[in-house]
Amino acid sequence: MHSLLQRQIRRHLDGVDLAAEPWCSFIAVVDRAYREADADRALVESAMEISSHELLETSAQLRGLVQAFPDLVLHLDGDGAIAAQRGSAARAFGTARGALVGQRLRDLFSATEVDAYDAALDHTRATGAVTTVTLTRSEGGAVVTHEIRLATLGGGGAIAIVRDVTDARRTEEMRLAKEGAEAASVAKSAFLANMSHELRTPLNAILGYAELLAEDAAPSAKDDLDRIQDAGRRLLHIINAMLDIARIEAGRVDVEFDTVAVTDFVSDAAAAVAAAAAEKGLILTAAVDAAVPTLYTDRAKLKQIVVNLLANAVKFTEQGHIELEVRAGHRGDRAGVVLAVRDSGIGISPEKIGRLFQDFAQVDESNTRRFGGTGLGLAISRRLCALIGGHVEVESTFGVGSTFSVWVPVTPDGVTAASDNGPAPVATAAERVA
Amino acid sequence: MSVLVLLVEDNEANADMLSRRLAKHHFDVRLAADGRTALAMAQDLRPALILMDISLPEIDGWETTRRLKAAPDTAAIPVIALTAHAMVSDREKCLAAGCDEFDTKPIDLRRLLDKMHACIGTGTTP
Repeated sequence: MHSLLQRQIRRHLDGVDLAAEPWCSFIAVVDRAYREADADRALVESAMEISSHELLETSAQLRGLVQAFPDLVLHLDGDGAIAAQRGSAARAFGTARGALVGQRLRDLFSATEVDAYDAALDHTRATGAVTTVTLTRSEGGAVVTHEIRLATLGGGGAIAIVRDVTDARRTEEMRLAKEGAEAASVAKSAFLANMSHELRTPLNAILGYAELLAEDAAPSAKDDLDRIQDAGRRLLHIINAMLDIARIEAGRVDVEFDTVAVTDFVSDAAAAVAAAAAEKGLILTAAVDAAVPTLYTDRAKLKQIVVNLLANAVKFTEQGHIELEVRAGHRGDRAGVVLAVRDSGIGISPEKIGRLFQDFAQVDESNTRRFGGTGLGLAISRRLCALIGGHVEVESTFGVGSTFSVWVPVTPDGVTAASDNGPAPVATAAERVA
Repeated sequence: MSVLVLLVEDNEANADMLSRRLAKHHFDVRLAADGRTALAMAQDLRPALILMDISLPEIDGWETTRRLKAAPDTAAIPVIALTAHAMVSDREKCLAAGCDEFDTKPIDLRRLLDKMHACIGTGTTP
């Protein structure tokens, strides 16, 4: 019999014959009820024990979670005042840890932003939905952008999760700016390619008709027609040079690295300008040092650079010599080859040397009439050189001559289309370029 | 005896100039100003060679060449693409469309004649 029942019988039913009916049945029913109640209580107790344990565990997990948050977590009371804070407010609000408690969150924002914050909080309170608002404020001279998520808590309170998105914003802005610049570059290249097409079509008619007329023309007219053809060809040369630059800038020039023996193409390169040099009575020589190593580079690009420099030397040299010299040469601690084109030409004055590799730049505008050309040859050479990981420099003494030197690494290292940020004029001490 | 050539070119000045220059080199040049006309003329005339401008109205030179090369009657006629586009990719596009050769404008007549003779020599002459 249940102990509690025994005690109650002793107290209230002392002397009653419980073995007789109806007491016997009654006591049995009550005893059963007591036992069942006991079992139920045990069940409830164990359930409560479990849930309180779970509650503790969950709460510890939540605490850990909130602590691990990179964000500032604020508990707002019904008035919007900060009741509790987790995470540092130093970056977000320039205040020490915990310093925000007691303040109203809205007071931390400038007058222009506070309306957006109020509207977001009102919306969250009215709908129970999580609302996100992005606010920018100036903190110690720096502009800081916050993303604030607001959610309701029971009892009129709310939780505000403040995330500093300044860096993410800046990264995004930089990404957009980069994309914009790339799109502009592609558009520019497409424009140049189209322009080239539009210019070539009428030029085709001009050159073709001039040639057609010249075939049957009287000698006096023939000279004039030759001039038309010369001018047309020069125009074509300019268009081709522009197209070359557009192609390089659009990244549409493939670089094909291969083993290149320098002696292989030096005579080819010299041969390309031999006729022009001979016409002006210039002495053209090429010397390759025996110690020059074999290169791993783009043969066609390197040859084009050297031909450009040789052609340039022929163009600006009235008398004397042009020498192509090839020797081994280090740049920093990197092994490479130097291909130097030395001329006895008009030279370049120190103040003009820096402009040399700019697009369309000839050091003296009057030279355009005197020497012709587009002023794009060196600009193209510099770009090609950057493509193969090399470097172009120039030394010059006005009135005495110039030396253009191309340095090419023995093996390309991290070769990219990125250039050296412009020309690298190396002047002698007396001609140091500012 | 002159060789029959079909010149497909929508620019009147360029068509007139080139056909007159080629005539001096014993080519009988017929003109088509667009792709559709070119397809019909190629079918009727069976020229020894087709010079194809690429920037044509309606059906461009690439598509016209593709159709010529897809038709049994005209597939064997060599096609030289002539274009004022001078990018390397343009050349590849021309050859991919089935052109046998490629040359750029402005025309260098000597160079073009060499290519024409090479094409006719290897192509089937009617």
